[in-house]
Amino acid sequence: MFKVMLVDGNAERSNSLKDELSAMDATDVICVDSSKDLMGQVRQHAPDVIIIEMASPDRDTLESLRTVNRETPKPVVFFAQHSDHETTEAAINAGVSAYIVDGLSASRLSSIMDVAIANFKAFQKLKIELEDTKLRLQDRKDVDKAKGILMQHRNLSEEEAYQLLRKMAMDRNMKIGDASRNFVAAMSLLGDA
Amino acid sequence: MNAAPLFRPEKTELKIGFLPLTDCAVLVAAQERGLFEKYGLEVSLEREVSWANIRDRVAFGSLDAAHMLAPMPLAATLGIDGLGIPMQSAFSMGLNGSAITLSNTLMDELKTICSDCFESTPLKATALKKLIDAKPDRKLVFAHVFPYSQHHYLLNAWLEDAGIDPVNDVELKVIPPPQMVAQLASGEIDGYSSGEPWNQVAVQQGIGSVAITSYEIWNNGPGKVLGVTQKWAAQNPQTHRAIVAALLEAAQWLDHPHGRSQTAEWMSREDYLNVPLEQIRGPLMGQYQFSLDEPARTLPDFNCFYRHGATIPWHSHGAFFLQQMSQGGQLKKSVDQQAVLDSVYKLDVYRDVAEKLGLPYPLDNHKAETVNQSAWVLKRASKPIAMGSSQITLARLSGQVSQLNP
Repeated sequence: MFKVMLVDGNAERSNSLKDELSAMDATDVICVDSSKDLMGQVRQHAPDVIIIEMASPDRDTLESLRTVNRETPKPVVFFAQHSDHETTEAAINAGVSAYIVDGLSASRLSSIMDVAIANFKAFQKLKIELEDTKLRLQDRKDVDKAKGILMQHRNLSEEEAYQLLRKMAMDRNMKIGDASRNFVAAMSLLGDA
Repeated sequence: MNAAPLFRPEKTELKIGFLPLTDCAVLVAAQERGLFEKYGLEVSLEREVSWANIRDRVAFGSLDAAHMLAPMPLAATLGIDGLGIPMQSAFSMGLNGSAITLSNTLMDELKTICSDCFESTPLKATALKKLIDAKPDRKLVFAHVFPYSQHHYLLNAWLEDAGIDPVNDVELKVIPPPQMVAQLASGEIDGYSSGEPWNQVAVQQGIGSVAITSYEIWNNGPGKVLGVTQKWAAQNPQTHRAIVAALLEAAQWLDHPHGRSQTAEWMSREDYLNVPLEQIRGPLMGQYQFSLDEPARTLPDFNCFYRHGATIPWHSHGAFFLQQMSQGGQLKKSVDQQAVLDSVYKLDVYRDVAEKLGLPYPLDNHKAETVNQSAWVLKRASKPIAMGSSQITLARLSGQVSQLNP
């Protein structure tokens, strides 16, 4: 049996990665809480691979496992020493890192890392999409507010107000959401919003 | 008419990484005072959570440069830390700046076992040695911040000075600084060696007391540096110089109390350290609290940013780290010391920038340590430089460092 330990503060991501890794041949996956006594957990579970999110400060603790051999029977090393440059770069960009027991077969590691990187990337994409959606919702609110002010003060139709905002944004090389926010802020200074 | 710019940066939009510690002050001051812009740079300061992230993000280019523990560029270049992507430093971000804190429970025990040991300063680990000898079954646990750190080497030196073997007599572990205080409070560790604000936090919360500061172990010893990869430095020589120029100006400003006071306020902000001002301010202003039941002690050089040649990337600092790495078993192969120091400690870059800014710089790469017991003047320099003492108070460490003197 081959043991993978996941140290990830994002429970949803951790569970989804656990499911995918558990589906691999003879692989046992343990999820641990990153906040408390990581060394104790490593000693207790004796994993072959530790996958850890880069947002966790515990990486520095894991770094010491290669010099403090008393802690573990075999030194634990940074996965990148057994991996190619591209995989390492992809892992860093996806925000995931790993530590492995020295001597682990490179092919075994690379399949695990591929799954982990893909999983972290998917979550990163979801997060960006979510932020994007939030921003677009906010944009719509601000555009509506700016349109309302224009319609009232300049006696414009909704379509005319929108076209005016669009032109204003284009002239200033801004997004319509940002231009609307600026406009609303400026009008509120004048006590008109 | 503006004069021609001093530097023509190849790359102007930069990401510079830092860990939320008081000694990232020069980066914060340079950013907030617009000094990066002054030298044609648009810098985004990126807060990181671990030294390993800093190292890897610099190694793979997702950060251009970063706040690093002084031995990190050397360890990376030697291939003993991370992936062995060669790094270098042309700027020291500050001298001193860390301390060893013990839990108040342990402190009380030490005072009981040897009250005489507390009669003089700096505090030695003698009482600790007596406690370990009296209770050989009890394993005391001490933490530091990273295998390749001055914090680690000074903790070892302090223990060894009293005859404590840091490998067999105690347990040493690495803990991220923000977790130190909680682990000290819960009794998982008995003490730690860390930078600020984490010693002051333990003191102010009544959990720990400072045993000794890095300044008291080694007056004006190395602390942090600005690290970049050697490849990046070769591709961006003017950008590199522009960063060093901005940081040199920031460091000089940080020699003034108002500069320190203002920077302390900036650093307490959410986007920097995100801790209350009172946890940052004391040490920066030279008022250092060792224990909650005492008034603060005056330690004006607890942090040195420019004075005493604090910004100079001395080869002698690198020689000391090489010695510590070899003696502690971190570096097992023999290396061409001169070649390694030449490639990692970039005094040539430092001199070039200092010359352009009209600032003094040293003519030699090495500085003798342990020789000057009080303030002195470095005359082998473009203009004389006022230096601080280089005394080392631990006999064993002093002997080791003396061997490195030219």
